[in-house]
Amino acid sequence: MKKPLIEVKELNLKFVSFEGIAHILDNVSFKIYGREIFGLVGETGCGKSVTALSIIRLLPKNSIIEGSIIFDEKNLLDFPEREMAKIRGRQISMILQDPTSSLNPMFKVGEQLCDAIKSNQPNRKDVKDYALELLKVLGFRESKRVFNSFPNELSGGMQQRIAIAIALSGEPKLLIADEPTTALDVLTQAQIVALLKDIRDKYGTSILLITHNLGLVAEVCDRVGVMYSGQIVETGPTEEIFYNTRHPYTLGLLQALPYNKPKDKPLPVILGNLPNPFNPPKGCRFKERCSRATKECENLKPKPYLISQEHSVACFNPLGDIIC
Amino acid sequence: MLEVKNLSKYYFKRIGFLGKKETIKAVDNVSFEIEKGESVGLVGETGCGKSTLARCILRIEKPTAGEIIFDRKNVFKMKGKEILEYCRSVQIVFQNPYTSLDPRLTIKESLLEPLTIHFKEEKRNLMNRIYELLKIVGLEDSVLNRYPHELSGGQNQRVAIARAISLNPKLLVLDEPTSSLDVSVQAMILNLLKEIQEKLNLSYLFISHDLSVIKYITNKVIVMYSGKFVEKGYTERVLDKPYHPYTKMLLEALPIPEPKNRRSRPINSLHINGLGECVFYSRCPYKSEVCEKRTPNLVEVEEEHFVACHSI
Ligand SMILES: Nc1ncnc2c1ncn2[C@@H]1O[C@H](COP(=O)(O)OP(=O)(O)OP(=O)(O)O)[C@@H](O)[C@H]1O
Ligand SMILES: Nc1ncnc2c1ncn2[C@@H]1O[C@H](COP(=O)(O)OP(=O)(O)OP(=O)(O)O)[C@@H](O)[C@H]1O
Ligand SMILES: [Mg+2]
Ligand SMILES: [Mg+2]
Repeated sequence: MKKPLIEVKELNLKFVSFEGIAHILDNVSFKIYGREIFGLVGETGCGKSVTALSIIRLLPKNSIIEGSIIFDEKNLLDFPEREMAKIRGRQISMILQDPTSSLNPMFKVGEQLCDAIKSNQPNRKDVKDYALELLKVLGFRESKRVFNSFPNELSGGMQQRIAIAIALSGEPKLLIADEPTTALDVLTQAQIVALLKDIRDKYGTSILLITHNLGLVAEVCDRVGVMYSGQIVETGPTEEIFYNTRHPYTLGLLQALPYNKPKDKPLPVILGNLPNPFNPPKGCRFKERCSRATKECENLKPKPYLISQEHSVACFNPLGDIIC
Repeated sequence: MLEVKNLSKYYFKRIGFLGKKETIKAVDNVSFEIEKGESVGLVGETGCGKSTLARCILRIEKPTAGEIIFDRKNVFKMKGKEILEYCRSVQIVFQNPYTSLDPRLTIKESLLEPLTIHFKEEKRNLMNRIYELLKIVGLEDSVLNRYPHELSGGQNQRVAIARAISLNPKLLVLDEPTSSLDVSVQAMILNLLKEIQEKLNLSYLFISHDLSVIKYITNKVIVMYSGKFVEKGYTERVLDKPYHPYTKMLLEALPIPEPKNRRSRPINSLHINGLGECVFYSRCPYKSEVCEKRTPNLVEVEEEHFVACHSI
């Protein structure tokens, strides 16, 4: 059996506020193996970012988290903040959707990159050379000029690449990329995607790619987790998810894509909204938007089960044939 | 209906404190038409001038050169009442649903504002119009007393569309209306846009860099690069049989939701090399000597299919 690099097990997350208790994540479990690009998809507000923040332990103070996140045989949730700070940036690092928020406009990008290297690899002597090398890896030809630029002198795509360089400065084993290309145009997006693949191939870094762009997922991910209302409803190898879709929600997401759809027909949509996290429904959380819902879905919560070695689904009435 | 003739918009920027002026040709000598009921796509990467062109059409900015003709009248020579009528006829929907509505106004106030400016009618009649609009865009009346931050991205975008169609416009400019929305909401907004286009016989100028959206929603497409049009024609033909190397590059970069057909991607597509008269020279893999010396003009390579490239 392959051993996963990270295993998220039955993660439950609640936010407490004066409005009440919001049930944000419900029994979220998935694994990411070494050298793997794992995609996490689902609509706005389903809990992708908070899952990432749970892993890197940057959740707001009002959160209650249960479950375990096993990394290197240890449970990250047991770590005191002091220990976690050593993991962050060095073992696990994260890039955000908006590159401008991860760069300081007052300092040259080269300095910021060097600072990151110094703090993540304190024993390193050749900090500047290493910074220039990282910039080369990220596709900057004129790495010296870029090194001496301020963030606002660079395009969005260049800034995002700098942010990735900073995230890679500690040579992490896991890179979390939360919508890294949403703010960029197609060509730059394609470039960042190629880059992520390249990083995985060169350094063996595992990547958790959060996105709602299914095209991107199809293009780079080895395995995918589909999230709905704080639950993983389907997970499996990318081709399984796309060509042997089992959960009605996954199918809904795939069908909504305009890619190669006949122009004279409306796109199939998933009607309705995500349930209210303060008062999640009993039974299946997707039932109100699901055309296959039955009585069973009303009161019982579907548990994820394996339909093949790697492919699991949480649904009482999944699509396709069930071979047990 | 709308005719843009040799339109240019230049910005002048001083480099450094005493430096010389630099000219940014945001839009450079472009021409096209939009007919009634037609939907024209405008694609190209960040900074190529799409929004600038849209702003000129909306009269938010004055072009450096060229003219825009709407219903046989020159838009920049209009006076008084004509201007008001033009502003009513041409409306815009922006990319970011949260910033396109005034956050301090309730949805009702946002929707009432343009109506009260343009129609001197009783409030009761205007409210009826608002209920009608909500029905068209598929929103419940209960959103009226809420503020934009209390609605989802998709709901806000519906409000923005309702506001844009409230004055019975003839042309709607949609500046990346779905790029900040997720797939299922995007699908609903695209369906809505198609539906109201048919119902109201609207024309669209649809700006996007997602070619699969463009293919679904438009019947003509213009590919823009660095202020110039490099290819235009019927969407199907341009995207199925592109001629310009830049159009090909855009198509190659489009992520395809088919994991079995993964392609290796050229990271080099952004590398810049050399400077020539053709705007695409520095990035073109097929450049030759002519491209350095002469700007290619748009020529008709097939019926209604125009390309600006020397290598064809
Ligand atoms: N700091 C917070 N306090 C309270 N609730 C929060 C907080 N952060 C997120 N949430 C809630 O948690 C849920 C999941 O949010 P999350 O940001 O993870 O969604 P997402 O899947 O990343 O969506 P998107 O695609 O829009 O980024 C949402 O209902 C959101 O409102
Ligand atoms: N007010 C301005 N002053 C100076 N330069 C400007 C101004 N507005 C736009 N520009 C420049 O004009 C060019 C075209 O900008 P525009 O916003 O039209 O691009 P776009 O195609 O809409 O890009 P995006 O896809 O990012 O929205 C850019 O180089 C931009 O920097
Ligand atoms: Mg998020
Ligand atoms: Mg723009």
